[in-house]
Amino acid sequence: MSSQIDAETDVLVIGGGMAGLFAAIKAREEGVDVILVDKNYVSKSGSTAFAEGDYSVCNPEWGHDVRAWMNQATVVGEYLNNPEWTEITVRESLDRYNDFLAWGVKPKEASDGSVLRFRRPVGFGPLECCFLGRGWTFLPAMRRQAEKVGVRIIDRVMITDLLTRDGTAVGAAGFHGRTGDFYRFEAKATVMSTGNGTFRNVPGAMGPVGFLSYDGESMAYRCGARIGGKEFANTGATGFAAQKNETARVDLRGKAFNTIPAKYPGWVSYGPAISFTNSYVDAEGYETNRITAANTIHEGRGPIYWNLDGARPEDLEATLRDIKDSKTEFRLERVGLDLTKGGLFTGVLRLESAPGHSIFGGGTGISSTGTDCTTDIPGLYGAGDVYQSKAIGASYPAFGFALRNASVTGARAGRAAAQFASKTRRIPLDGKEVPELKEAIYAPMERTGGFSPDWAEQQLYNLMVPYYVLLVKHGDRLAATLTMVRFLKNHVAPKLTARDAHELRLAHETRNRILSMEMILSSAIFRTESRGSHYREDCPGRDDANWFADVKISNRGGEMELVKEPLPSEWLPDAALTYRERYPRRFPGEG
Amino acid sequence: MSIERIDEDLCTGCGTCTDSCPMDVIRMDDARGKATIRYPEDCTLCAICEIDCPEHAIYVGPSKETQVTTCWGL
Repeated sequence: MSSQIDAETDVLVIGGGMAGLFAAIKAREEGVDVILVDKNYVSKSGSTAFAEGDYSVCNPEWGHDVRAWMNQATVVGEYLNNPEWTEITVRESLDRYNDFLAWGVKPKEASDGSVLRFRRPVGFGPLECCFLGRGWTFLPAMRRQAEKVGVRIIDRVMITDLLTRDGTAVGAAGFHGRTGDFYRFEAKATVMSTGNGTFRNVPGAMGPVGFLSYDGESMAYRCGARIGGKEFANTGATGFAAQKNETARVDLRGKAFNTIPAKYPGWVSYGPAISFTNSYVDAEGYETNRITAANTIHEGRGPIYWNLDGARPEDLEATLRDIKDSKTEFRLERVGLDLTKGGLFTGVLRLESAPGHSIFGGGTGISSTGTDCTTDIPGLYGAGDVYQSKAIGASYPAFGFALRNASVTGARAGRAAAQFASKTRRIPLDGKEVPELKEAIYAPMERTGGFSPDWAEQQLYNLMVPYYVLLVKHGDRLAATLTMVRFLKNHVAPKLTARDAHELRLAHETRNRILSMEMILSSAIFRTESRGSHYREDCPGRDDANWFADVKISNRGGEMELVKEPLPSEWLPDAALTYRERYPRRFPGEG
Repeated sequence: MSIERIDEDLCTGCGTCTDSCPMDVIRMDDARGKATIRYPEDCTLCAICEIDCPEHAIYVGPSKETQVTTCWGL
């Protein structure tokens, strides 16, 4: 029989990656009590744990121009970003960078001992990054800092429900993923920093982040918060060193994208895409490559191969250095790959997994209602990938933006939540909610028959992952897929089973993923234009007259309500610009 | 295959890997004081357990078999 653990605090932070750790530390520095809860072990959790480690600090002393940093998000995001938020995340990146230094997170040094600053050579933006190291190597220093300032960390507890009273957030509830114990937190303010989502258990995915399951936005949605930006979530295309079904999990980062000899199918022969790629790869290559790669497959000219013969020596050297830095050379050896020999890698460019990472860094999630990280729910704050700050627009602009957005929004959310908690009386929970919560949380363990989370996850994955659903979209296919996803939501999710606490977590994760896929498909059907990482072959151009707007989803009695919210026309560039000047990138089929 | 083995002769039962694994694949066998592979089907081959293990006792294989879809829900 599981126990019940009740805890009270001023600020509850849910999710302990980059955003959550910043929120917890900054809230604690304001003098309030803080609990940080994570379904994994804080410092080995969140997408941060598997982040490349690029951090794009904008430092005027290094000659950086705030406007150039902002412009990257604006042009690549096709004007949907909120300029105020973009500027905040750019300007405050230096403060957060200085926090790293103070907490013992050491950026990589150049050979002369100065901080290494670099640009990714292809496809990841013109802006300089520092390199913090792979997430799992620098997060322990952040955990130590949180413990040092007195944050109470609770590991391995999955939060399933946000608790509200009269529409105000008053805490959260969940269970321990190993013991199965029931946890209930009472808090004056809550910060949601649970990250984005992907599918579970997919070798070769963007990152091995199969634990990310849209938990935060699902909870907030059920409590009435608006969710936005879901139509821009598409399927990740990643270049992993691999052969056959073996994967070395070494991300080649597309460093050979532009240099594939014409004898190979795929990139080079695709005229419009390559013309874009050559002109704009530094500004935007990633999303474009993903969509044009998918379109190449769509036209029957796949599969896409990954070629290193033409890679510039310095690019290959950088790749090998990254692998060495992350101590992952053994993975390459284990599958018998030697990148220095060049060659054509088979089965390497995989179009799969990670719906959401095309738009992480503030492009999707719980809608922001202000620059102090507020949401539609009083007492609930958002930070990191789960929070649609709109610091970025319709597409992920460049490496380094996600960690920066997470750190800046995390710090802001932590401070704002602490200040809110300081002037708020705790609304005590009377315990009447507990039986209902427990019944819902543990229901999968009580069922004697139904569907395993593994099976449901596999069906969802099979529906969503083919290129023709989220990469090359069409209204008809989206609607067909939505029908099946709604079947999973209405018929399979309520009958999930779990044999133990470990599987109970999987059941709740799968339920959240199904809900999020419904949001992604519904939004993609609703937005009848193409923009950023949202490409519909049945309407392949931008439509500023009708679609310079956000799509917001909210829960109306269990049904999703989608609303178009027009954006300020002053966010658009000079009206005198032609369409092609405004949008230099061409979608396939746009003419 | 995914995570393939934890060498019992090398494992000191320090528990580092049980913290490192984000998929909760590894648990402590308290009776024996050793780490044990409890849920190999959830391994995503990130290999942080292998990288973090101070005794180099863990081996993560390079590949993982995926299941064939069945019709009946298990």
